[in-house]
Order: sequence, then structure tokens, then C-alpha cells
Amino acid sequence: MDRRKSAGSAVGGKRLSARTAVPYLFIAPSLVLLTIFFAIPVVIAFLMSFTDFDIYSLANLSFARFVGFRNYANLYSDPLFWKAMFNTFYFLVVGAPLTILVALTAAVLLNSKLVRFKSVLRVGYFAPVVATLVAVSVVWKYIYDPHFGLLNYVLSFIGVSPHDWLSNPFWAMPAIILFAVWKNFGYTMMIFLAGLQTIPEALYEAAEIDGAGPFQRFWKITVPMLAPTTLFVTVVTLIGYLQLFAEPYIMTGGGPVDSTLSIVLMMYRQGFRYWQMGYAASIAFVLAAVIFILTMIEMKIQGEARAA
Amino acid sequence: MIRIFSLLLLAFLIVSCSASPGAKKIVRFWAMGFEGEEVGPLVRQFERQNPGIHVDLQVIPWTSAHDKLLTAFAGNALPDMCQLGNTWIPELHAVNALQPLDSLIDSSNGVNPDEYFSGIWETNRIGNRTYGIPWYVDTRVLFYRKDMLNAVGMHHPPENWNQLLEAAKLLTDYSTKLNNRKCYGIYLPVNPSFEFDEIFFAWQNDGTILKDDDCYSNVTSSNDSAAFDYYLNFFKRGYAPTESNATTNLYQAFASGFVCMFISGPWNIDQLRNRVPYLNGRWAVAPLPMNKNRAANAGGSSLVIFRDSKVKKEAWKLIEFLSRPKNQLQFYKTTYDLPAVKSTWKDSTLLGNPMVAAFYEQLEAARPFPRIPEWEQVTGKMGEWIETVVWERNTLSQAIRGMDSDINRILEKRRWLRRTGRMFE
Repeated sequence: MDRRKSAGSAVGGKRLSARTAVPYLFIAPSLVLLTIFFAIPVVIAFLMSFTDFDIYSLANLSFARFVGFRNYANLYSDPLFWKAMFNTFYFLVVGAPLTILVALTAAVLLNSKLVRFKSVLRVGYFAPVVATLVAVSVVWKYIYDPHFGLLNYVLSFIGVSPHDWLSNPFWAMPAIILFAVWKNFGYTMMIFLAGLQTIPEALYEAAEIDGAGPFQRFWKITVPMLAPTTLFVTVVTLIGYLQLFAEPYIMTGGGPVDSTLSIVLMMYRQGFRYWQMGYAASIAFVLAAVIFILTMIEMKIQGEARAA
Repeated sequence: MIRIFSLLLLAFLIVSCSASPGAKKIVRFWAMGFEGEEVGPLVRQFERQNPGIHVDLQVIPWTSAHDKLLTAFAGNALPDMCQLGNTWIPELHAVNALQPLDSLIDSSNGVNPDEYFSGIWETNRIGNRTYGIPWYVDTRVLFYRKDMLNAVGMHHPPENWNQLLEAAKLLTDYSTKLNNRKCYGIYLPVNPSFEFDEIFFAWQNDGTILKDDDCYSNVTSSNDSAAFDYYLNFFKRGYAPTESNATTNLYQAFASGFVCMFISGPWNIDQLRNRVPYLNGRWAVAPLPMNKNRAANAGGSSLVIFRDSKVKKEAWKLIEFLSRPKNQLQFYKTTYDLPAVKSTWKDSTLLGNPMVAAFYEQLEAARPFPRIPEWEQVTGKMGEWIETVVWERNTLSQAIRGMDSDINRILEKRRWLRRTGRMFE
């Protein structure tokens, strides 16, 4: 009430006072930027997904036709889309748990008092995350080479016959997953390390006095105490892995026989190689919807687990 | 998504930062990759002869050139002239970005259409207008191991389809035995759209892929489907490898006899000489084996002027300069890109060299791809279907049915534009 009076306005205090305007002024720059570079493009892309916008429409906007839900219907009946969906989920379902598992293991080991040269190891594990993806994928292409590759060479010691990893439809995706896990687990590991350091030492000491072994301490203390960290890490990995793009783009181009074609790679091809912008936009919105639904489910499950 | 976006933003920033010194007329010229790096001396020579013109040369990597051109078009940031892979001309024509050059050609005394290979010249024509001048040319020929072919009793390169299949069989058996591991007579791409091989086989069998003014698919015709069948035979009988890594190490694979023949372009002559010098004299090139004809694609790059340029006259001067036989020859000697102007070929470094002479013969039979912007999509789809047959996921007739309906769907927009009179020529 006081505030309204001090504004001294004649129209019942509806006009913004200097005091209430200030916070809006502060957020105005980022709001404007977000509108121009995020909200407007998203709205345009959404509208575009109901048209057949393509290279001809780039020349003359009237060459684009409103097609209703046809892009979405075509997507539904496009076997390549389902293949890409399958590949993306294959990558997610195998790759994400593997990344989290490797990251957690590495974090727990690094956090242990027995390990020496911690900072060196930490840098080593984190290095792949900051390395340029294009450069390391070229290196990994050589590692996977069927004739001169390091992987086949190492495997030959245990009697495994050479495989043509990246050009075999069965092995290409596992090879991409292995590469992605190596590339990404360092980031997740750092977050787990931070989470581990917030667990009070007293809990472990108390458990030890009560006679809990190392495995019990891990399952009964470390894992539950890390639950919020795990939720965060899972959501971030989920969102990141559903957008699989650069690894197959550089290493396999989506092949062989589309066995590494991901949703985003398909979208890129349709949009920037074939200029089927309408179709590509519809792929983008389906992917966004999938990510949204999965994240909601994930939050719900974790929320219930915590409530129980 | 963020990554793609930031790449585009970066491209935009680079595009928008072109400098502008002095009162000279400035011609902004984009050239791609190796050609861009090597054209510098010629451009400086041009500037010395034309003191009133400054050429702002920008080198663009091939891998990002295609995206960059179209984003530059959308952002009104195209240069005045550009080197353009001649398969991209239909796309840039579809967005109405290219300047027709016919009146400039008519009044020019440097550029004469009769001086060019007709198939190559045609790639620059859409409707009745010419949109580009061939700069250097490219087509495909057969690279083969002369020593191994001799060893199996063939003393000349395969000249027709039957001989090619026969040679592939003999070389497969011979090299497998010699190296004591599975080797192959010929390397052919599993997904031919990466190297555009399927269409030559169709053309050589008088197939056309498309019909009715490139508005409908024609792949179900007997000529087209027989050509696919012939192509797939090499894989079915084990004469061509399905592992694509042969491409990353093609030179090694060729030297070791893992593959004994392949179809490729002029740049590989130089590559083979430098990368596997110990193999010199044991390999050669020949025009493609013919069936009903010897067609291969008319490739290479053209020089184009963009419609919105304000210095078209100066840009044309540079095109005329680069088209002079003397300059074409100088460019050949630094890049090994085959010259587009025929009289340049009289030089002893070209027709005097049997390797290069094979290209001359092949170029006379070169043909342009269908000049529609959807072509890359069409060939991509065909490649995907062919690949499924190689991996035995589909039979050929299933793949052809799939191709047919996919191609017709891709061309639906084109038919609509035609029907409603929206297409400009």
C-alpha cells in the first residue's frame, strides 16, 4: 500500500513506479537477447514445421506451402526416422549408464585416500572432455582402423580376430559408444567428485565403528548421499546423449547402412544438406518433445524414490 | 543444436568482416580449398595488369563451402564472384542468386563456348541461359594395376562391361592367392552417392534415372535397373570390398593389391605418384569401360558472378583473365586441375602424357548430372537403397521400388512449381 502511495499516480497505482521498474530494467538486456535469439527462432521454426519450406522457398517465400501436419505424418511413416530413433535410444540406453558408471567408479577411486598423484589423474581423465572433438575423433578413426588400428592390434594378443569396427553395421554403434564414453565421462566424474566431497566423513567413521565393510559403506552411504548429484548427472547426460551428432557425423557419416544415423544427424542432413527446412523443423520438435517427456519421467522417478 | 548454431554464428562473423581499402574497384572473390590457395599468384598478376581493380580473395574450405554459400545468400553476404562446383549451380540458380552471362559471352573475345568440352559447358546452362564459365574440369576414369592385369593375361585395360567384370574376377582370384588373404579386383563405393558412381552405370546403359523434364523417377525402367544389377554384381560375387575403410587408405590398398582397380578423378594421378612412388610404372589410367556408351559425369568448378554484384564488369574481366590458355596452363601446373579450355591441352605436359590423355577422351563423353536442386537428395536416396542391397537387407527389386517412390516424393515440389507456373528459367 505504501509503495503505491509513494508512486503518487492518478490511475490507481497501475503505472510502474521507478522502484518496480528497476528490476525489469536489469533483466531487460538478457530478456531482449533471449527473445531475439531464442524465443523468436523457436516460434518461427515451429511455424516452419507446418510448411514445406525448402530451397525454392528461400528464393521466394510464396513457394512454401502450408501442409498442416504432413511433415509429422511423413516422419511417422519414414523408416529412416524410426531407424534414427532406434539408434539414438540404443546410444542412450547403453552409453548413458556406462558413462555414469565409469564416471562414478573413477570419482570414488580418485576420492579414496589410497590413491596418489590425484591431480595428475584428474587432469588425465578430464583431458578428453576439453580436447577438440574433431581432432580426437580423427585419432579414434585410426585406432579403429581394420588394418593398422591399435584396437585390433591389442585385441590380437587375446586371440580376437580383426574387426572392421566403423564400417560394419553391427559394430559401428558400439565403437561410437566406446568413443563417447571415453570423451564424456570426465565431466560427469568431476561432478561426482564434488558430490563426494560434500558427504561428511563422520558418517563413514560411524559406519565403520558399527562394523560396515567397504561395500556396505558404498551402498548405504555413498550412493544415497549422491542421489541429488546422480539426478543432475542423469538429466544432463540424457539431454546430451539424445542430441548425439558430432561423433557419427565425423566418424561414420551416419553409415554403414544408417546404423549410426542419429536424430540430430538426420535433422542436419535434411536441413542443411537438402534444405528441407520444414521437415527438419518437425524432427527438431519431435526430439524436443521426447527430451521433455523423458526428463519429466526421470524427475518423477527420482522424486518418488526420495519421498519413499 | 547449440554447436550448430554457434558454427553458423561464426560463419556469419567471418563473412561480415571483409575489408575495403582505397578507391579501387573491389571484386570480392571466393575460391575453395586447394584452388583458393593456388590462385593467389594469378590474381596478383591480374591486379598488376588492371591497376584499377583490387581482388579481395577469400579461401573457403570445401567441406563448409556449400553451407556457407547458402547461409551467405540468406544473409545477403554473397561475394561478387565465386568458384562453384558445377553441381551446385542448380541450387544457386533455384534461389535466383546467379547472374546470366550470355550477353557478356557474346561480346567477349576471350571466352568462346566452342573452346570447351560440350558436356562440361552444358553443366552451366539451365533453361536457355549460361550461369557459369568452366574453370577447371574433372571426370572419372579407371585406375588399374597394369602389372597385375598383365599377370592374369589381359594386356590392355578392360574396354567394355563384360571385360570389366571379367578383369575384376581374374584380379580378385590372382591377388587373393598372391597376398594370401582376401583381396578384391575393384574398389567401388558401397554407398555410391558419395562418389556419384551409380549414375554413370545407368547412363552407360542408356538409363536416365529421371524422366519427363526431371519431374519423375525413371529407375524402374529396364535400362536403369539392369545398370544397378550390374553394379551390385561386383559385391555379390565378392569382387569389390564392402568395408569402406579401403577409401581412407585407398593408396595403400591399391599398392598392396588389396584392390586392383578403382574409378576416380584426376587428382589421384598426383596423389598416387607422391604417396606410393615405388608403384610408379605399374599402374595406369584408361577411359571407363563402355557398354552402350562411355558416359561419365562432367565435373569440376565454374566461375560465376552473383546477381547482386555491383562490379560485374570487373568480375567478368577476372573470369576472362583466368580463362586464357596461358593462365589455364599455369594453373594446371600448380594444381594438376585439368584445364577447361581445350586449346590448353595442346601443351606437351597434357596430351603428351598418356595418363592425362585418358581424361581428354573421357571428357569428350562427359555428361552433366540432371540440373535440378534436388539432385543431391535424389542421389543420396539412391545410394542408401543400393547400400541396403549390398548388405542384403533388401532385394534389388525392393530397393528399386523404394527408390522410385522416394524420388517421386522428393520431386513433388518441383512438379507443383511447374504445374502452377511458379518455376522461373
